[in-house]
Amino acid sequence: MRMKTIINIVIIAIIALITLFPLYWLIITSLKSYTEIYANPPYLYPPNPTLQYYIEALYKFYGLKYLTNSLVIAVTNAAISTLASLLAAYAVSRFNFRGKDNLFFTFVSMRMAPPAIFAVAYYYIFCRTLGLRDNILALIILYNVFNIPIAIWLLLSALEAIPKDLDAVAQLEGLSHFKILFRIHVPIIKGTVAVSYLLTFLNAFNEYLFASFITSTEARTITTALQGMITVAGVYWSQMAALGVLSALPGIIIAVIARRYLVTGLTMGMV
Amino acid sequence: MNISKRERLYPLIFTLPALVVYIMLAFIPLIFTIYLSITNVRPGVGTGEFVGAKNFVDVLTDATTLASLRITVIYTAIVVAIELVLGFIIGALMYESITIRKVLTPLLVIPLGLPPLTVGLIWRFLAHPDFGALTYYLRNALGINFNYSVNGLQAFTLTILMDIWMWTSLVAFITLGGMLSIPPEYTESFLVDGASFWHRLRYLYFRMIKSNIIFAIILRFMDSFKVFDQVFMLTQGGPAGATYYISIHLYRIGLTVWDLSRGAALSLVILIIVIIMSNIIIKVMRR
Repeated sequence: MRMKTIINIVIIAIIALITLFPLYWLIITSLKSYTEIYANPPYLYPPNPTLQYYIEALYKFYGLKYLTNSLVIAVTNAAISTLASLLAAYAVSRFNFRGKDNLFFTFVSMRMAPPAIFAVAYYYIFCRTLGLRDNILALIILYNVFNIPIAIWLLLSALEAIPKDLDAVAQLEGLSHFKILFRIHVPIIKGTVAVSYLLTFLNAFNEYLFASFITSTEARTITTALQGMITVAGVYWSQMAALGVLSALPGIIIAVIARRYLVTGLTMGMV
Repeated sequence: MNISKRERLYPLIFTLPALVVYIMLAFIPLIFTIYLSITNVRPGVGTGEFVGAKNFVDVLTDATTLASLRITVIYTAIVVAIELVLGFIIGALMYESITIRKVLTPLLVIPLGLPPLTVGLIWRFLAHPDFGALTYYLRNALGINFNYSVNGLQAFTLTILMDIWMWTSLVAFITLGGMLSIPPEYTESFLVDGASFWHRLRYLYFRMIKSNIIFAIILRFMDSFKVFDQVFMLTQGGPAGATYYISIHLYRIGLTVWDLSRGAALSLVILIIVIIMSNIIIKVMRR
């Protein structure tokens, strides 16, 4: 019995160390000065911790602006994709119409396709045709392409669990489909709606590839800003690490809060 | 009459927002990509004329593309194999001990929530040739002169380690999900018989959660095949093409070189591979 406890502690310690050390290294890098970063042997803790580099990252390197852009894009896109998916999931679960069976296939394909395959097409649609180059609106629209399938998937299984008899009663009361969805179904599945919002928010906030060619200065997101700092400010390691920590915060918070659903979202609810 | 017409319109109204998104972001790009792939479009150079299958032949006989496909397949095979074994073991450890499960679950989800680009940044700092902790300990503890920015094999290995760090926990959670649905009597009978941990892995869990394992393989295969952000941040495909995975190649042909037609042809080839794989997934999941 005691032996088993010791083994468990060892296993936990090893896995926790491997998982957390890379993240810890990023955090302490953001709290070290340039010379402290280059110290040999390396400091395993920040010798003179200071928030100075966070302030510089936010103001001198416009991190605040880029974080705001990312947040605005993610908040708006998550709302749009959750709402659009709610309507579509209701239609799939409550109506019979042609093309319904192709949905599953379409979603799996969308989940699997490398985003880079349509990069050129998106560049032409958003930057050349719609004139939305360096405009956050382009990303708010574009991120629906991966967020709607995930949101429909999550919401569909929740809606399917609501008994159809409930709709029949509501219809007898004279409620329209919109009212059935928003007044009766949504309150029942509000937990899933919240999860769907959080996961689509996270996907939008974390995206890099599309943002890299749609935005340049004004609409730049936090991930693009991080990539950009490599070439522009090759020596500002502390500030770059600070921005990296800030970019990781929503992901860490949402992953820990919605951990059960994060896996559901990543696997399209197939587990 | 009026009511039945409205009834028929409802599915359309409800699916309209999603439908518009799909026409704009999947259908039109697809048509546009097909158009590019059979013509000769390249800003300043191309004439825009119809060239048939020439772009497909060009791109599939191009040495850079083939090299990129090759290392992507090798990378994918290695990461999927390692993540599967490690993830399966961690999943079993979490299944058998509630303490391990409770403590590790909130930790293991963290890499899954991070922006992949930030994961690239984390590993850049960890493996920096001058100040990375990994570089320092490899040199001082194992005597390995580690510099991923010049050594191709080391860069390739580093991207594999990064992928394992990032995604092993997903496999662990998928396999754990399968194990949790094994009837407890089965596990108990193995424990009563005194079967060793490896014996339980091989003859109990592996047999009981085969469909989860197949699903994990396919999912990880597709995701590592399209790897982009974190590698782009860490190595930008270098040094000397050692980590020039297919998504990075696509991005470069399209948005750096602007060789639009060949890029489009390659996109379609990859899309066809994806569609075949999706069909296999659906078959596996329906079984």
